[in-house]
Amino acid sequence: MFTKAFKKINNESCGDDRKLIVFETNMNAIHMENLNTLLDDNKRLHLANGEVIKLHPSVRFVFLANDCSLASPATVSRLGCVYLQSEEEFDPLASFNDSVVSNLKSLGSEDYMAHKKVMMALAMINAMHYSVARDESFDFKQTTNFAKNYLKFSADMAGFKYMIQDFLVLSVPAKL
Amino acid sequence: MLDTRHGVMVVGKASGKFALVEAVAKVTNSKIVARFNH
Repeated sequence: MFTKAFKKINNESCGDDRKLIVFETNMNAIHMENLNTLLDDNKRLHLANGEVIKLHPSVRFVFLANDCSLASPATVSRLGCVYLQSEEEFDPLASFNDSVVSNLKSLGSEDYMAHKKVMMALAMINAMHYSVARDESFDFKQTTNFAKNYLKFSADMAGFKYMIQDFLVLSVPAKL
Repeated sequence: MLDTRHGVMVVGKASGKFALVEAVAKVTNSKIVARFNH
């Protein structure tokens, strides 16, 4: 099924847009082994029948998994890695300076949770940007606005902007 | 090295990972063309 879809996607022209193929998988080493040549610098999918398909430059792969327990080192080394903690484990205060920490602590618990969600989203967006989607057209203002709308951020804009700037300076709090 | 990569794994117990990938697609002018649930 993947091969059929991959051939179609690979042949389609999609303008300047990058094409993302998303897998929600446990990254079992047996299945992932077939993708090794596709994910490394060869950028080719070798099929059992001897056919070789070259990866289109605009295609990227995203694997979503709860853990890496079944993944082989060969797979892990071929992919960028974004570690996303659960909301309970994630501590946004760990990466910020004192003034931001006191700012955050002065918020009510509802707003504090909103901050946590925004920062989780930004951590992932930032990390994925650097791992996969690196280009000059990326606009962090868009990210900020999107995260704000998407996660229903409820604090005032001044505080939000200040935090986002600090976030970008301090980069990604998720473990890479 | 990151420049040459064309795959990323998002690992962790956080919920809503796909929704966040959609967010990334939106802000990076990307399009999710296939989703495989294995």
